[in-house]
Formats: sequence, structure tokens, C-alpha cells
Amino acid sequence: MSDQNLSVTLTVNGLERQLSVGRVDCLLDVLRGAGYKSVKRGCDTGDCGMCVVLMNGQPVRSCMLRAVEVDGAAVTTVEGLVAADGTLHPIQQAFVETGAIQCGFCTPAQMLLAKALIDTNPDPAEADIRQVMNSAHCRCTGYVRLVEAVQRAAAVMRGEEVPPVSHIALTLPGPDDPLQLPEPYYRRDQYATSVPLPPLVYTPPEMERTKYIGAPQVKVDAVKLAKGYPVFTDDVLPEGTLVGALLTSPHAHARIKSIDTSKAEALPGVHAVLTYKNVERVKYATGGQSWPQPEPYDQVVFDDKVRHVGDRVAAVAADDARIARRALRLIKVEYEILPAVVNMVKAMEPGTPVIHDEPDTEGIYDAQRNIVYHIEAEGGDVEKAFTEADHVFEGEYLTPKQQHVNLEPHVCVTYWDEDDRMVVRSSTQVPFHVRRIIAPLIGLPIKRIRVIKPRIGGGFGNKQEILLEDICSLLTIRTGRPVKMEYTRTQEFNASRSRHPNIIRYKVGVKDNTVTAMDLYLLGDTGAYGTHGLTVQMVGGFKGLTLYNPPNARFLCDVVYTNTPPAGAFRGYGSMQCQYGVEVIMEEIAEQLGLDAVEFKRNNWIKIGEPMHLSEALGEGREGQKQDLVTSALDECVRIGLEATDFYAKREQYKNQNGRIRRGIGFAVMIHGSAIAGLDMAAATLKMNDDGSFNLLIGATDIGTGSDTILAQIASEVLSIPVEDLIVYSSDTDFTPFDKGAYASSTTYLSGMAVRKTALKIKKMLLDHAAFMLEIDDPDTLTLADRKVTAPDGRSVTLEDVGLSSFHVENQHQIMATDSHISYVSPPPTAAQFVEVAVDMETGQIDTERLLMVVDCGRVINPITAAGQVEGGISQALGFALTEEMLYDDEGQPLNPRIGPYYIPRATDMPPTDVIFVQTDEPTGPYGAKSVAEISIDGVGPAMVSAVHDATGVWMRQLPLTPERVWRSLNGK
Amino acid sequence: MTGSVGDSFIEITRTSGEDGKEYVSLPLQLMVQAAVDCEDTPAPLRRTLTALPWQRRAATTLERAVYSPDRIPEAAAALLALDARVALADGAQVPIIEFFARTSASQSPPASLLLPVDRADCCWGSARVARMSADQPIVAAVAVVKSEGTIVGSARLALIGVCRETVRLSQSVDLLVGKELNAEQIEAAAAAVAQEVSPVSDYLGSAEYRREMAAVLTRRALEQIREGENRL
Ligand code: FES
Ligand code: FES
Repeated sequence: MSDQNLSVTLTVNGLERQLSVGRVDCLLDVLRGAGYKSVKRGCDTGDCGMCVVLMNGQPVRSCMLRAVEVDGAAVTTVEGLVAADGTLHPIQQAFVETGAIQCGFCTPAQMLLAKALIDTNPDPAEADIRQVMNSAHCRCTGYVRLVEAVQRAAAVMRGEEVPPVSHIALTLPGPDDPLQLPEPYYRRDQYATSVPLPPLVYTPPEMERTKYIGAPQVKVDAVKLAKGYPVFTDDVLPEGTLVGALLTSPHAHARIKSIDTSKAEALPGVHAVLTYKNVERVKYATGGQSWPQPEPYDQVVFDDKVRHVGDRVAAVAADDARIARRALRLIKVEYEILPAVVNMVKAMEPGTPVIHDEPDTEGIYDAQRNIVYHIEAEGGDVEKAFTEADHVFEGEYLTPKQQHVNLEPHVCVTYWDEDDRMVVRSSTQVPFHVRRIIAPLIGLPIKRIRVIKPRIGGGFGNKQEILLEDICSLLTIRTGRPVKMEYTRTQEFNASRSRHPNIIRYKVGVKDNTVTAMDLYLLGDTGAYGTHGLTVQMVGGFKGLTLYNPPNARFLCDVVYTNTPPAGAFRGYGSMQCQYGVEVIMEEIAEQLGLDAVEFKRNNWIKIGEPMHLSEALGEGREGQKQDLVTSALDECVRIGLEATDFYAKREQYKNQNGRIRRGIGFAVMIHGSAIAGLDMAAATLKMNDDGSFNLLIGATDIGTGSDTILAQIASEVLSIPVEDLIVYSSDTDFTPFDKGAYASSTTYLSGMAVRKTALKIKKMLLDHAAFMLEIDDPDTLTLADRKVTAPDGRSVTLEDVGLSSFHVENQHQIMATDSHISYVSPPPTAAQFVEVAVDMETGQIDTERLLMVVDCGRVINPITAAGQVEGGISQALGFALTEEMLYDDEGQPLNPRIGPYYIPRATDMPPTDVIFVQTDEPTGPYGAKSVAEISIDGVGPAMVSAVHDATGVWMRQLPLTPERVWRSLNGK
Repeated sequence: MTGSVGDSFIEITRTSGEDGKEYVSLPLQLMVQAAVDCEDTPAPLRRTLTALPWQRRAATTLERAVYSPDRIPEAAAALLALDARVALADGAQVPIIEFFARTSASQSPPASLLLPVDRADCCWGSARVARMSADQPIVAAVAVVKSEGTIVGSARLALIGVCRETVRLSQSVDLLVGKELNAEQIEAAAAAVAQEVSPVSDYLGSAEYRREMAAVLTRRALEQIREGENRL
């Protein structure tokens, strides 16, 4: 906020407020400063729409309006939608019920847009809703449930009855039984629009039925997010919080010859300035992974060399943001500009500038050639198999550097508590890794650090990195004051993480139409620092060679440094890149051999009972575990998808098309993993209260995925209590047990098992105490159901009775348990992705007409949140396939570091998007669950290429399929 | 007819241009939404403005929207194709092309946007290519043609993304004037446009691609007009 004191009068949510503002203060800052924390900031450039409020009934971007310009206006924020008695507005209620709220960061803006729309049009068409939703991005939902929420709210506001929100449950027919889907899922006739459909869930007849698991439970955090409560990191700041700001490098590669901070330090209101000169040089890696993280530790908090535009140069803490920015401008840095290495192939060439020439980084494979990792793994005899093959095919595929665009930027608040311990409240996916990794950087033992993870506005892997927590803590140590730091959107692009761009070369040997050998060479660009470079490519190699699992397989990989912002963890984690490559080459082979691609793939994809040949050779950053494929519904997923899309009929129909617009249909299959075998651990604690309710304390981090809810459902199922009887808390390193964090598709599978084991312990304690109360000798004869324990003779005690008794009356003790889980297998979910397109043959523009994913994620714990995960993953994958690509010039300067020019899909860009689940019963997962979060992103890229080939006859080997790339391929350029 | 500015309403009037034609005058302090709501706003402009996010329509004045063609390039293209004018506070009027180019002699601030009222026998067409439908165009074309009987009386074509400047008024379509708008003439105009433009490569598209698209999209816009799809 600025220092000028002007006064404006705003009527906010019906209440007249006199607010003192600066001349250039934007309405967003003024509203947040006045306590309306539902108004969010996702950028400062008018691109994201997170800051939408209603002004005189019309939606406006509050970051683009100066407060003084709107003096006298009536402003509505989400806080104003809630009735005085706390009752939700029908729009809020609909958002809660439909699963439209994932991370909840975009929710206030979306709800206000919905209100403005319904106020002017009580019965909006789906197209109207999407058009309005274009005003605010959502990166989590794929917009499917958002549209459903607005339709539902409008119906309620028109006085109509609405049915409960649920999935459609069907019994999976046998392989020879006819398959008939409910009519809407064929997307014919009146359903050929983008109208949202509920997820379909197919269950094999033999699968055990459950009560709380499999139910469309409303997310446990949905109401507070719908109300716009201050639940995100930036929403609650301690008294006297300073603003930290980061000076980043304008050059891609440079040495800092001198840095003069004297003017900045002298500026009134500046409390600390940090540079490499006054911060201890401690080597570390930013990737939030289990100990010990893979080498090299190639970063320090501040260095005298910068390796990408956006690299850290200095940080300041000041009284407010404006002073902090002014102080950054006063820091004089003299750079010796070095030649930049931007191209990953050139990075390895002899004579190329060395990016990591510092002597204190150990573990770089070949620093002179900028090769940070070199990986080799082989099973069988690949060369012999190639020699004996009938055909050998080769193909090269390229994937882009994709940004996560989590709409809540990285943000962190640090302060000393009353015991002189450092509290780090951070928007992180990995609170326990943050605590361990920053300890040596800030010179405090782990026991003096507490990391709190509030609600998170999306992460997708980007918040599996330690990016601000170290600097923010150091500023608190220097100043003794609370400090807040937040990335700008430009810094999100230039100084956070991205997907690794890859060059993927496959060589495939085929004998008797069977894939007998595969050789995968993978070149990965990790940008300026190694961080997840090793593990991402190892996962890519493993999945990319296991989907078809030939007995002879070889993986060769180089991971190189370039002077671009570091790549890191991103949903899909190497797997989506390599599966894109393998799926496209399999289609190309089928075409060249004159085979039906579905049949060719079906004959070759991994089957139940097969050992995964490379599972031991390719773990994550270390040796892996021996693993077999135990459950898979890939056959059923493909069968259902073929039926729902009328695949073969369309393929026939699309032959010999003429004209400007040509249609195509494509498909891809994929596998993923569930947690990291033999490495990561999760734990959970359950603690009983007097009234028979329980605290569920989990270190697992819900970053909007709904994991708090599904973990509660697992505990509910074991304890036979409704989810409302569980108070879920995640996560706080002081109070919740360890969990590796939200990554590697592990929360449902790994943390879920920890919860199940803990709940089983609690169940035993409950039965023991109830047996004592009921004077029954054998607790195993008791049944626990519907909040009570019943003896064989019909006598019973309620859980409240048990709670009161165990606390206050007899055999007094706390019913409480903790358990943990590690798995030595990582069972793959499997899935089939279908894509339908219309390609403009003259411009190369692709319009996506339908996206369908049929998924086997084991048992579906919550169909609505699981569908939300798939829909959101699909929309990110659509961006990956068609638009999203971080681009740099030859000097390493970013060309599109803003949401607008980078471009992520908006509501009207999304076609009909459907999700069908085929349940399997994974024996090592909680109630048979595997994972769902990441597999959802793997398939759109290759299925898109398959569809474009069907439409046009050309194979697209580089993503994204921009209009020009398609046009060039069509014209042989 | 009125349009709102904040809580107050202001009159939308008609006025004569310096060229003797009649114009509807949209005060520049109106919000973009008012231009969308105004029934006199010609369809190509309304369509572009309607596609803007609601919060931009609600909080952006017409002045901000039209001040620079960079702000909303497709709106600028529509204004060029429509031969709109800007009335300045001192009473002078300048063609929109001069306003964009800042070549007007007057230093007076702009006051209102003048949109031609006489649209008899006028048709328009537009075409665009983008990475996704709601994305900014890589190249776009907006054309307005006035017929005189079966021949073209006048033709204006504005293009986006094919020159160093954001929006460009094409000269090539002049060769359509006095001729019948048939496939052959359209092809010739499209080819001439491809020759005329001087695109610059950027991250969205190479110069080669942009040049090619200038021809393709010109042809499409003119074909819509020939087919009489969009009467102005
Ligand atoms: S914060 Fe206002 S549009 Fe992004
Ligand atoms: S729920 Fe929309 S951005 Fe997360």
C-alpha cells in the first residue's frame, strides 16, 4: 500500500466502509487490506481473473482498478454471499455439492461471475456459462464441475428441485457380455454438447461393497473455501509482518562482478538486504524429496553467478511492498555477461560454455559437457532381439517445457514463535521436506523449525520445491520480524519450476507383430539446476518401457543443464513425455504394418501377472523393487472407450475426407504408478474425543486434490462412522505425523494405507474398551457399526459412551493410535484416453471436439473428487498437447512469461469431457485403491496425435501441436 | 438510446461526419459493455467486444479499448474495416486509421467513437487462426464490402498479425472495386494480400506462416461476404 492518505467510501457487501488508500493503490489491495480475503491475487497483469469482484453488480478485475477511481461504488465479495446466520448462498451450496471446488483459489471469482450471470439471466445456457467463466481461469477442474455448479445454482434460484449429486454406478459386464452405456455417454444428438455428465463407475460383480468409500462425499474443506474464509497462506499475517521481495537476474548466464546494496539498506523502511555476500554458502538441492536427495547439491541460497533469467540475486525485507520494490531498484549489480546455453542438444557439445563451473558442486556426471546425469539400464539382450526382429522402427519425439500455472503463486510467511522457534507457514506440498532441507540453510536444527501447510491454491508438483522458505526465514532471522514473500506471476514463470522438455528417441523391434525389443534414448533439459532431473527421467524411462514391457529393453538417458529456468516435478513426471513417444511410435508401426492400432497395442501392452522387467533397474534416483502387474483393467477401459466413442465407425467414416475441416478420432493407453516403491513413507494419527468423534491428523498435504476427504472416508469405512465425525487436520510438522507430502501419486495409496492401519488399531481399542464396558470376554465377538459397538446378545454402547468411559470412568486411557506405511510395490493405474478433433487443413488449427478418459485407478474412494482429478488433468494435458510451451530466445530471454501469451485452456476451449471409471481391487492398496491424480495427464498428447493423423494422414512428432506446426506438416515444410 | 457511465446514463446520439455521412456517436467514457448493448453497434465490432471477458467489458472504457490497437486488436481491426472515426474534444474528426497512427494534426483529446450508420448493401466477414478458440489470434482478417448492384462498390479489409504494427488496413482489396465478387476475384485479392503484407516472426508464428494465413483468412472473410452470410 502506498503512503499517501486519501479516503474512499465503498459499500462492501452492503456495509459502507470509509477506507484510507494511496493514490495508486488498486482495489484488490484495498479490499484485502480491509479484510476481504476472498479476493485473490494470481497475477498483476489482468490475465488470471482471480481478483474478480462485483462492482455495482458487474464483474471487474480489482487488480486493474485504482481504489480512488471507484469511490462510491458498491462492491460485492464472496463474504457478502453468505447469509447472516451462516447459510450458504445457493451458488456456494451448488459449488460445494458438485465438486466444483478443488483447491478453491479460483472459487470466489467463479462464484461471483456465476452470480452476475444468474442475476441477469436466470436460465443461462451452457455456452453462456462457459463464456462468462472465460473471465477467470481454473487450473484444477477442467471447468466441468464448475459449469455443473452454475447450472445447478441457477435451477435452485429458479425454485426448481435438484437431485442429489452423485455418480452413476454400474456393474461391469463380462468380456463376452454386451456393453451398453447410458445414452448420454455416447455424446450423440442432444448430448453432443459440453453439458457435464456425472462420472460413470463400473464395478466388477465380485468386488466387495463399501459404505463410506465409493460415496460422493462432499469435500471436508469445501464449505470454508466456498465462504471465502482466510485459509490460504497469505490470508493471515502476524502483526508487523514485513514484505520480502526478490531481485532476480535479467541475464540467462552471468557472473556478478559486484553488488552494492548500500543505497537499498539506507532506504527508510528497509530492514534487511541479503546477497551472496552475507549469506552462508551451503550447498543443497531444491527438490522436495526423501532423504537423502539425489546429488548433485548444485544450489546455494545466493550465488555470485546467475544461471537463468529469474535466478536469485538478492532479497530485501521492508515495511511494505512499495518500499521493497524501491529497494530492489536501488541494488546496483554489475554483471559479466556470459554466453547462454539454451538448446539441450548444443549444451552437450564440446566447447559449449559450462554452466556449473563452481568447484564445490559434487556429483555432476560431466560438468564440462553440462551433463548432470547419465542413466543406463538394460534388461534382456536388446541388440540380439533387434537382429532377430522382422522389423525395426525408429522415431524421434519432442515435448515442450510446460509451466504449472498454479493460480496461487508460491507464498510463504515466517516468524519466531514464543519459544524462539522458526514458524514457516508455506504454500507447499512437502512440509516435512521443507523443514529438513531449510534447516542447514538457515542454521537452525530441525527441532527449532515448524512448518505449517494451510490450504494450497494448486501445486501440481511446482510446490514440491523449496523456493522461498529459506530466504523468508533468513529475513526473519535478520530482522526478528515476521516476513511474507510471494512470487509475482512473472517469477512463477522465470523462477519456479516447469516440466522437463524432452527429446525422446525410440527404436522398436517387432517380430510376428510382437514387440520384442525397445531402446529408448531420452534427453532431458533440467534447466539451470538438477533438482528433479534424475528422478523424472528415470520414471519416464521406466514407464515408457513398461507400458509394452518387452523382454529386451534398454534405457539410455542424458540430463543436461541449460540457462533456462529449472525444470522440476510436474504431474505426469517424465511418464507423460515418454508415453507420448511410445504411443505415437506404436501407432506409426501399426500403420506401417497394416495392423489395427488397437489390436496391435492390445497384443503388446503389459498384462496381469507379468513382471515389470525394468522395475529393479529403474527406481526413482536409486535401484527399484521387483514388481509384477497385479491388477489392470486396461482391456475393459479400451473396450468401454471404443464403445462410448463409436470408434471404429468413426474411423471408417473419416476415411477419404475432403474439404477444409477434417475430423479424426484417436486413442492412447497409459499406465502410471502409485507412490514410490520402497522409498517414501506416510503416517497418520487418530485420536478419540469424549463425544465419539475423532481427530484425524495427517502429514499428507491436500493441495486441492481432496485427499483430506478421501483419507477421512477410509477412516470412516474402518470405524463405521460418518465423515462428519472426523476432524481432519493436515499438515503441521509439530502436530501431524510424518508424511513425504503430496507427490508421486501417493496420497490415496500410501497415506490411505497409513490411515487404514491406524483406524484398524483404533477399532481394536474401541472393541477392547467396549468389551470391558459390556463385560464380554472376547472383543472379537463385538461388531462396530453406525457409531456403536454391539454385543452378540444385542446390548450395545455408543462411541460416545466409549469415549466418556475411557476418558473419565473406568480403565481410563486415551484411545489414540499412529501407524505408518511404506510400500515395496507401486501398482500402476491404467487408462485409455480418447480424443476427437476437427482439423482446419488450411490453417492447421485443431478444435478438440471430445475428450473421454476411461480409468482403472483401483477402487474409487470418492467418484466426484476422483472425476475432478481426471477432468483437471485432462485440461492440463490439452494445454500440453496444443498450446503450452515456455519459449526463449537465443540469449535465454523468456518470450511468453505471462498467463495470456503462454495460454492455458479457458472454459470455452474445453470440449465435452467425460470420465468413466473401471474399478479393480488392488490387494496392496487401501480397500483396493491405486492412484488417479497423475495418470489423467498422460494420454491426451498421444491420443491427440492419433486423432490428428486420423483426420489428416500426418504424424505430428513435436508437441504442442500449434497451428503452424500442423500446417507445416500438412504442407511438407 | 442511453448508455451507462458508472451510475449515470448518457445519451448515445447520431451525428454527421465531416465526410457528410451519418454516424452513431459513442462517447468514449462509456464502458465497453455499453457498446455491446447499443443496438447501433455494428456486428463485427459487437462480436469482438462480446468475446472479451465480462470483467473487461464492465470495467474498460471505450477510450481505453480503442486508444491503442494493441489493447484489443480484433476490435481495432473491426473499426478499421468499418471505417470508423474519432471525434475529438475540439470538434475535429479523424479517421480511425489516423487516430491509431497518431498522425492527426490536432492535439485535442478524443471524445467519442463514430460508427457509420449507412450500412445498406454492406456485408462483412471475418476469420481468424489461434492456438485455441478463446486465445488471441495469430492472424485475423475482418472485411466489409459495400455492393453496388452485383459489383463491389467499396471494400475494406483489416488484418491482424501480418505486419510490424498490430493492425493493418489492406490496400489490395481495392482491386475488387468495380468487379463482381466471385471466386476468381477473391483468390486474386487473397494472393495480392499475401504479397502486400510484411509479417514479422514471433513465438506465435513465423513470417512465412503469417503471410500464408493472411491469404487464407482474407479469402475466407470475402467468401462469407460473397455468400451474403453477414449483413451489416
Ligand atoms: S490478479 Fe487480477 S487478473 Fe490476475
Ligand atoms: S479450483 Fe480452480 S484453480 Fe483450483
